[in-house]
Amino acid sequence: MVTPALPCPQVRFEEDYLRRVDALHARLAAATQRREGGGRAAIVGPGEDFVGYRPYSPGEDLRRLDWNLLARLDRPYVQVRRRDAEEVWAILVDTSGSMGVGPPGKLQRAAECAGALASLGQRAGAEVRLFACDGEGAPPAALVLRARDDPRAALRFLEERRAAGRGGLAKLLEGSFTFAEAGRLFAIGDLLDLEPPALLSLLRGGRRVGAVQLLAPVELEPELGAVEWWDPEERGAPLRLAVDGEVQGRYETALEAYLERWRELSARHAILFACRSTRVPFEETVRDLLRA
Amino acid sequence: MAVSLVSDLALPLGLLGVEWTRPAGFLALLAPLVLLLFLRRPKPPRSEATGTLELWRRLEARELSSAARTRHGMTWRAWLLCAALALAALAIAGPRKERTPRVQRWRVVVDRSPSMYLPLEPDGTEARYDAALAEAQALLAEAGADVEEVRWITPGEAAVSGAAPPSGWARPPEVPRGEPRWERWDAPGTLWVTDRATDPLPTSAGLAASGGAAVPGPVGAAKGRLLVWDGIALVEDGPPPPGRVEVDEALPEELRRLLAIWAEERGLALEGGGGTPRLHSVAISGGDSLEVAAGRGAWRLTGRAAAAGVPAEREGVPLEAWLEAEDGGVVLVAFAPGRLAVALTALDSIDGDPAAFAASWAELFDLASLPPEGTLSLEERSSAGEARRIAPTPAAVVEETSAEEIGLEAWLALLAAILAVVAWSGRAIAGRTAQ
Repeated sequence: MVTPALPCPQVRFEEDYLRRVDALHARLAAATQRREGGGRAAIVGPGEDFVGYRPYSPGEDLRRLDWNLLARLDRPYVQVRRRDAEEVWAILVDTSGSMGVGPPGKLQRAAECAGALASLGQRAGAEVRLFACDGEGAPPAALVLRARDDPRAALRFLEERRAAGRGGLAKLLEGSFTFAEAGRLFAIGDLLDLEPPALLSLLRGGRRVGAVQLLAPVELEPELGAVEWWDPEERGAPLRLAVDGEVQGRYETALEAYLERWRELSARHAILFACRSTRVPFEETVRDLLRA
Repeated sequence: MAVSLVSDLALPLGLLGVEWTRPAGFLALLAPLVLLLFLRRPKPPRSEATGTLELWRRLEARELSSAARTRHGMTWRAWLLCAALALAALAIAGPRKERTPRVQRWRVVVDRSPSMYLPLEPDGTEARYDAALAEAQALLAEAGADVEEVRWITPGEAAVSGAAPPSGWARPPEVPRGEPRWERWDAPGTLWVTDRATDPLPTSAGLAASGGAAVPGPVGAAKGRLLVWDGIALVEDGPPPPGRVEVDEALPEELRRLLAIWAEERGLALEGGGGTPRLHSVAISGGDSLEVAAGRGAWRLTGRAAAAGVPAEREGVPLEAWLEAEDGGVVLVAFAPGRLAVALTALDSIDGDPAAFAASWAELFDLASLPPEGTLSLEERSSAGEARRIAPTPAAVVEETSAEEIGLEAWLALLAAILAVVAWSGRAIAGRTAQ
C-alpha cells in the first residue's frame, strides 16, 4: 500500500518572524510591568537572588509570602527574586509523523512557538536547550543556546526538522536526556502520543512545566462527507467513514472529553497549558501559555 | 431557440409582478446547476491525515467499502456560492417591476369661433363644426386612439375627456370666441379642429379642417343700419337687432360716462336694457393699488390702479392689452371680443386733447364690442377653402422610471456579491480556538 504524503511535514520561518518575536516580547514585558509593577514574577522561581518586595496578590503561592514582614507590618508582601545562576530552559518539540497534519501544519506552528520561547528564554538570560526527535530509529537532536548566542541558530535547527516517525514527545521523555537542570520545561506538540500523567513526572524540584497542544483544523473541525482517515504514525489500513452530522457531533464530543482531561490535569498541578488550533498565530498561543 | 425557450419558460415568473428585460440571462442559471452537480458527483472518499484516528475508530461509525463512491455533503459555503450564482443569473435576466403600459393620450383643440357654425354650403344644413368634428374622430380612429384618453380643449371652457366633446359645443357660445392660439398646440399627440386650414400648417399636430363655401349675411352695423354682404358687395338693410352694454359700477366715473355716451351713439341699451350683450365691462380691483400714468397718442392720464393689473386671460379667454402703465409693468386696460377689462380704479388727471381721449376710448369700445346678433365679420363669412386633413403624430410614450429608484437587478446583484464574499471568507471566519 502506498503511504500518502503528509500534507505539511516541513518547517519554514517567514522573514518577519524575528520581528514578530520582538513584538511579542515587548507586549509581554509591558503586561508584566503593569501587572507586577516592575517585577518579573512570571518567570522568577525558587533558587534566585532576593531583590525586593511587592504586595501579595490573591491566588499567589503562599510559600513566597514573607511571614516576617507580615508579622511586622500586618500586610502581606512577597519576595521578588532574580535568579542567582543562569537558569536552564528545556523546550521539547514533537516531530513525529502526526505533526505533519494540516494545513496549517502542526510542526510549523510548534516550531514557531518553540522559536519564540527560545528567544524569550535567551532574553531572560537563560540557557535554552531545544530537543526534537528525528524519525524512526534516529537519536533525538538537541541544540543549546546561551543568552548571547544568535537566535537564528534556533530557527535553523527547527527548519532542519521534518515530521516523520513515531513516538514524538513520549520518546523524548523516555530517552537518555535528563532535565534535572531545567528550571522550566516546555513540551510542544499534539500530545496525542502522551497520556496526561506523563507530564507529572517532570514536576520536580519546583520546576515550572508548560505544555502546548496543537491540533490542525481537520482534527478539530472535520468536514462532512466520505473520508478516508489515515494516521501518519500507523501502518495499518486507513479508516473510511461517512461523516455526517451525527458522526461529526460524536467525534467532537469525544475530542472535547479528551482535551478536558489535559485541561483538568494542568489546572490541578499548576502546569502552564494552552490548546490551540494551528490557525491561531504563535504569538497568541505563547502569550496565553505564559498567562495561564 | 434556447433563448426563445427560456423566454417562454420565464413568462410564468411574470405572475410575480416582475417582468424580465433580458430573459436570455436565465441561461446563466446553468452555472449554479453545473456547480451543484459537480460538487455532488459521486467521488471516492477524500483522503485526510489525522493524529486522532484512534478517536475515530472508537466512534463505531459505519465504515465504507474500499470501492465506495459517495456523494459528498455540501458545505454551507458551497450552498452559499450556488445561491450567489443563481442570484447573479437572475440579475442578468434583468428583472423589474411590471409597469402598466402608458396609454397614448390625445388632445383635440376645437375652434369655436363664429365661422365654425356656418353651413358648409350657403343652403346646406351641415355646419362646418360638425363636418370638422367628424373628420377629427375619423383621424383619431385611424390612429387607434383610446376614446377614454382623448381630451377635448377649447378656449374659455374646461377641458373634458371622452369619445366626443360636450354636445353643447355644437352650438355657438354665448360670447363669441376667437380662434385658439394654434402655435401653443403644435405638438405630437394633438389634433386641431377648425374650418379653415391654418397658415402655417401644423408641423407636429394633426389637422381636421372642414373647409366651406362663403356664406353671405349680416356683417356689421353702421349709422343705425344693418350692413349685409351679399357675396359680392355690402348693402344696407333695416335696423340692427337691439343690443346692450353691461357697465361695471366699479369703473372710474369718467370711463363710465364715456361708455354710456358711446352706447347711446351706437343705439345700445345700458345695464338693465334689452337685447343681447354686445360689450361686458369689468373692473379689476382688490389687493394692493398703485399710482400709475399712461397715455395713447395725444392724451395722458394719471390715477390709481390695481397693482396686479389686468391678467393675460380671463375666464379662459385671452385678453389683448390696450393701455399699459408708463413704467412698463402693469396692463391697465385689455379687451377681447365682447369683453373689456379695466384695472384703473380712479383717474386723477387727464392731460392732452379731451376729444382725442374720447375718440381713443370710443375706438376701443368699437373694437371690443360684438357685432349685432346674427352678424359675423366679413372674414368669418368668407370661404374657408377646401377641406384638409393631416394625420396627427402620436406623442412619445415616456418610461415611468425614477432616477432615484434602485432596480431589482441591482439588489439581486448586491445580494449575490454579499453571499459570494461570505462563502469565500467563511473558512477565515470559522473559530480558531479549541478552548
